[in-house]
Amino acid sequence: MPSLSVNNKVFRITEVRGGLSLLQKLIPFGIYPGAKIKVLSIGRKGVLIEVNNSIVFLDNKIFSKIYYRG
Amino acid sequence: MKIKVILFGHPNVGKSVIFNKLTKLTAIVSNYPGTTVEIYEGTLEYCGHQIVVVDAPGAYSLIPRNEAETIARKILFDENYKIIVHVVDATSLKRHLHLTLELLELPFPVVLAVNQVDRAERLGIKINKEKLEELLGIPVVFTVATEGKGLEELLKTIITIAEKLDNKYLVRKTSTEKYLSRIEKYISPKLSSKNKIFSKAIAYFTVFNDKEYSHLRKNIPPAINLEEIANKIVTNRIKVVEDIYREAVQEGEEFFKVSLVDSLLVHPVKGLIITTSITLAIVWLTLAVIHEIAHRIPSMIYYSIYKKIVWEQLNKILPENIVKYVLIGDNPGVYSSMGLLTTGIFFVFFMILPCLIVLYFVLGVLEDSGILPRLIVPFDCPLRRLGMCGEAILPIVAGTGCSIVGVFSTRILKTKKSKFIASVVQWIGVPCMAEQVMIWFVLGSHGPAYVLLLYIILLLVTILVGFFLNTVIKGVEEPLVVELPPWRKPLLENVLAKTFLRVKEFLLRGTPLILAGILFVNILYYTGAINALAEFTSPIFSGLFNLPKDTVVAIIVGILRKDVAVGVLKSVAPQLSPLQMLTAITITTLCFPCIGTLVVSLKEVGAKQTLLMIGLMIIVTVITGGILGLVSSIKP
Repeated sequence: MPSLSVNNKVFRITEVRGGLSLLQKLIPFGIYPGAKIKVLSIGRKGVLIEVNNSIVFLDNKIFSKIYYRG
Repeated sequence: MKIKVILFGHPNVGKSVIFNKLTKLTAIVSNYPGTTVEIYEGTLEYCGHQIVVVDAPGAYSLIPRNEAETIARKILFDENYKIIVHVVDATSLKRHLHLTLELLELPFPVVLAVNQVDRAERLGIKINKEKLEELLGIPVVFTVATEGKGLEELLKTIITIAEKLDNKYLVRKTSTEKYLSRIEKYISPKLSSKNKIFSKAIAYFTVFNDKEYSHLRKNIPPAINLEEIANKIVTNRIKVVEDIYREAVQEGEEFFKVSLVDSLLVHPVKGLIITTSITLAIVWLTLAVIHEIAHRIPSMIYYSIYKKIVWEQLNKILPENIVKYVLIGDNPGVYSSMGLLTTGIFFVFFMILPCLIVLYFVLGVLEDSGILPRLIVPFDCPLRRLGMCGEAILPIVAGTGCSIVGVFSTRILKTKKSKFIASVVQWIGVPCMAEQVMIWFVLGSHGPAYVLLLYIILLLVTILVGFFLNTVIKGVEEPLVVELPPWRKPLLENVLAKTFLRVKEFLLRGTPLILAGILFVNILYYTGAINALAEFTSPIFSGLFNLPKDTVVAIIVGILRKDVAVGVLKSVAPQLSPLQMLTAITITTLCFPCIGTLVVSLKEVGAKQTLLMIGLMIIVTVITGGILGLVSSIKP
């Protein structure tokens, strides 16, 4: 489970690990290196993020493969 | 001139609103050839042209992730010339542009319909239309579909393109040219003449190892590293999208605020309780209201007007023979007569139809408000324990409308395991809306507690079957990624249009089956075949289920229509105690889906798995019916 300290902060994605297939899956949601995301809510199961004015739910398994910096 | 237009784009961008606004109520629901995915198609006349508009299923990419997206792509690849209208959400334009660039690999003209520009403006987003047109090389139209704004311009743009191009295919220079032209060279000779015009797009699919075209990879020399090309295309496309967006769009400072409900969705228990409560509260409240109002008025009309005019008059005129028996039965009781013009008309027009109109309206409101996709998140965890994923809640909800729709909605699920279990759940645990109406009417007459008990039994059976199947079937679901559309105020016009289409479908497809079911029961009685059948099955019905042997009729009718089956129980076994009625309705619901659902299941999961489902269903029915029979036989 991601740390609560990231809640409501804006980050920029630096890397998506998990290969091209995962990246292909995330691109239509606006999630790829360089994209800005805002973590809205963190739960035990996953994370709600805002990306390009849309709300996306990401399972923790996927969110753990997304690297970002503030 | 006849012009074919395909509305294409991500889910929840307003394609259906544009479709309904353009085609009004001319739409017809057709199945894509060889499949059961419903495609909405409508026509309109504009400036002397006949425009055929197709509302394609929502797709995130041209490389499909599920069968619905596969069908969406197939619509683009059929032999007809078409103009593609890519509908995008103005508030999140950037992520839609990836699909726009994919569509530009096709040889058809593309129009970008930037929808919800009013919402974008409120968020401070400014889109430079001319710049966007220049950078993409396609016409751009701003729309606010809910208010009908921009649709006139969209139609004019379509006509201009159609007149200018006159069905000529386009060859565009795109950013992927340098990567794909090499691949195209190797695969093009292997393509059929029909597919040759799509060679560039097919080269793109081949690079990304798309299932349908992966066989073409063997024609590409091993020296060409497809993985590397795919990576370069992705990186390049991200850069192109970022560049276009930077130049054509000025982002607002406003980040929208997450609603309280959304923030709670990520909590497994709170999210589940909140979304389920909201949905159930709306549906149950509606059912309760329907039970009180929507039934009384039509019933009053039937008994005070219809019965006097039709039944009494026909009873006088018609001679005593099979025709009279089939048309109005041998007695005036609306349940017991089983005549086509008495029980048949009453079931369809006075009982099911008024309730369906209300329930479909409510379902439309739920769909358009944005609550349904929100069910996916909290339901993901519990449904995974039953071998499915959060998205499986959508076919289940759709199945509460119509089981046929529910089974073919399983196409949105990615794995065979999930599809199979979701289909089983549809069969046994999810009564369709018309059946629920009858359940409320027949079982509800003994008190709402019995209806609640029935739902609890069905839920328990579903959970147990899901656990069992999850244990015996191998396979793991992919982790969940899902977009939550913004909360929206449902548009009355759109909800009414959907309700109209669904009711029309029920009248066209459901009514003949209801009447056939009633005719079938009538003939069973007239020929005396019912007695032989009842005797044959009496060890199970009387012995195991503690029910009168005549209740077998309901099971047989249930194969045609489940709602009629429940209604029939009232006439074939009027003396049932509340617990016996609960048993009878439970086994009617669990045992055999209606014929339409059976046919769809055969197509969706195949003959072998359908047979497995039938076996499982019979075992579940016998065990559940046996337990309920035992309980109902206990004397107080």
